[in-house]
Amino acid sequence: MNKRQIHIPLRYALLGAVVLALVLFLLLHLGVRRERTLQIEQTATLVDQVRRIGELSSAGYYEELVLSDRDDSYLAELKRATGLHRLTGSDDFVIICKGRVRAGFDFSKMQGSDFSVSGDTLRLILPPVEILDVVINPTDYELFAGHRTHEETVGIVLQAKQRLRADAVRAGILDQAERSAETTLRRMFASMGYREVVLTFRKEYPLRPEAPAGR
Amino acid sequence: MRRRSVIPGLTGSLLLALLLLSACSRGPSLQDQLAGRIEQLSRTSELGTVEYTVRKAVKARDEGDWFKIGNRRILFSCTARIKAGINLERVPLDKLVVDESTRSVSLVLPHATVFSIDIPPEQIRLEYEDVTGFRQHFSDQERQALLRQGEREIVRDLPKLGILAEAESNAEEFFRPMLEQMGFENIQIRFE
Repeated sequence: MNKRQIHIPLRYALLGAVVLALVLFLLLHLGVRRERTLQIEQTATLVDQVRRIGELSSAGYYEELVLSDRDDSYLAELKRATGLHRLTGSDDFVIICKGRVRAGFDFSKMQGSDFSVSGDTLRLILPPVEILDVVINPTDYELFAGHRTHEETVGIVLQAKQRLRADAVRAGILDQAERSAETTLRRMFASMGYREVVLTFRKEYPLRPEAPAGR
Repeated sequence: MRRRSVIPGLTGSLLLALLLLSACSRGPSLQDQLAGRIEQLSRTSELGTVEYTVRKAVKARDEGDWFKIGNRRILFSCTARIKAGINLERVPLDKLVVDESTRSVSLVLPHATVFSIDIPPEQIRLEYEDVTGFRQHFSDQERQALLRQGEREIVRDLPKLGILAEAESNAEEFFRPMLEQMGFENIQIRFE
């Protein structure tokens, strides 16, 4: 076997390797590992329940908030301490939410005696003001950084809802709801000819003290 | 001549680089960077008269391109609570006609609108996920994008559900007994 016979297969092998590398690079570049944007399939929206309600929502609260779920694992701490997270990326999970809270009154909690008319005086006792809805839907949050399972993400959004509710109460949504309802109802009843409109807001009663033990 | 080992030098350089990176990372925390919050408290006058609870399956199938080996399938089920009713701010009180002599009243109400769509996160369930071959698992962003599409489909289907007609019917039944208790005998309620 001469020198030339040895070199020809080697040359072909090298050429093959280069072509293979080029093809692999192109396929990767074209997106073998990249997934395209998916479209959901058409499914019906089924009505499960229809419920008659009587809710006066008289105040709303909107907030944009950021929630982060820090990765407290030993590896993550080590990466933070050494600065390696700059190279490998942090495992912290950050979510940006836009949430809405509605507050008002549930008229279904009213009793017959809570509404009375006497001459041109109308008396109305409203049930306690309450938070009616705290809403953070899938279009309301953005996953800013990190990865979590579906169940973990649900847990974080639930935390966001709790914080949103607390922030709304702290911002005075319940007082605002009482003031707005008073304005709206007075205006409406006054236009019906009632000179005096007496509105009373029922407050949440504290729990009854427990009966002494041993009775 | 004996060759000097390069390992101690390399180790020292690596440690120095790590220390420098560590020093660089002591900037403001992520929470501080994103701490800016937007809050807004507003006044509303929405009389909700009906609540619909609807269910929807959100499913996607990704067969992929010819050069991809394997498939991906995912299925979520979700529940949404939709509230609709009458915006009391838009009640045209100038069109309210009261005739005490005949004990009649004519009330004009605005057409019903949807006030809120609530898809509780705990009621979004990942029912099925299947990834075969060399395909990537569904990422957080992909899962959320699919759920967003599902939410938009629920919104798109709202007119077909008949929720607005139901809300107007309930609003009429809400006002009628109240007006009767006020002493009116002839009650006319219409929507404009």
